[in-house]
Amino acid sequence: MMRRILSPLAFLLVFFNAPQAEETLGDFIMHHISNSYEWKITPWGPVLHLPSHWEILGVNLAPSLHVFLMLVASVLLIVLFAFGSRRKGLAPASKIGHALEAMVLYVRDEVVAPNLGKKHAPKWLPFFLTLFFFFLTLNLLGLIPGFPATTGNINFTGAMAVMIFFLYNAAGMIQNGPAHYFVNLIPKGVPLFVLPIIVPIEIMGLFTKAFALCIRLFANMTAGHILILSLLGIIGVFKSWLVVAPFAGLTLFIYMIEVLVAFLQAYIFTLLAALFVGMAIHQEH
Amino acid sequence: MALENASMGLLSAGIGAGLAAIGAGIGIGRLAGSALEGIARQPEAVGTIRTTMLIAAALVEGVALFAQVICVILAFK
Repeated sequence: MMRRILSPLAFLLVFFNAPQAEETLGDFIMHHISNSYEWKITPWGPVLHLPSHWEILGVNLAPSLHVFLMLVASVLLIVLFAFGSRRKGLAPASKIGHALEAMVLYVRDEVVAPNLGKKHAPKWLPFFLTLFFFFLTLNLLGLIPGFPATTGNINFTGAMAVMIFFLYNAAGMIQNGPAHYFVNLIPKGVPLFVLPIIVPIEIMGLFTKAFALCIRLFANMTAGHILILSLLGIIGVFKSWLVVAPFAGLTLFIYMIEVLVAFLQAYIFTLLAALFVGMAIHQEH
Repeated sequence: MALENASMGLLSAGIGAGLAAIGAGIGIGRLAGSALEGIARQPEAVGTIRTTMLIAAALVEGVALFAQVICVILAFK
């Protein structure tokens, strides 16, 4: 029975991701990963043109393809949760509601509550839920053939990491007072002569934590997409019908791993963000 | 062997990417081995062990991916 689902799926994936004529492998990969102002949904299909110049106060704020996909993901999430949060008594009233509730409860009980403590968890819960579902939707949308990968754009993950950086520093400073926040970075009970080593390391640690968040998500998503596109592009390099079947099967296998990686990376980003905010708020080492 | 800058960049990118893959493989492999041993010793702790293993695997893989990103930068300079 799995074969009846898998072979049409493999065919569709190859068909919609196929390299067109007169394109080198490098161009094919870069074309699918980079940002642009027009969206060819299928290789033969409608092309969506986005405005490329929209000046607001001297800055070009034109929505590019990845920004447009963020809008699509937001609308999708609003619709999905508005429908899924309808309740019948105390239980959700739809199957989507049950599925979403399972994930929301998981984030609440395994990610937010252990890291933030019982007092702060209700305040921070909506933010981490939004973060988790937004990243999950963007990761999964990027996997659909033809859709661009917003989380594979380093500007997007960089912006998110900068936001989390300001967030956990601000949360720590508001909770503990600005001076105490920095003083408490130094662990208790260290001898004085290691202070010149520990202080720069701790200050750099504030930055590397956010930087690592950015690079981890970006590199995971981009590497996955490049892998899939390379495997499919090899079919174009060989230019023969015989190699389609094994490469399509391998690509399908890698696709399944990419779905797992999409869930995992969204979860890891949320978990680490909650961990950093928790560490900044409860600064008892 | 022409040792101009571009080809040295490509060569080093290739070697670096391979080394990063070795590092990731060894790290995550040892991690998975320890997780399996832990599950074998105490099957009722499967949930905790699985969650911890996935988190640690993502962190180790993040480090390997830093190296890969640097290799990509080298290959394109």
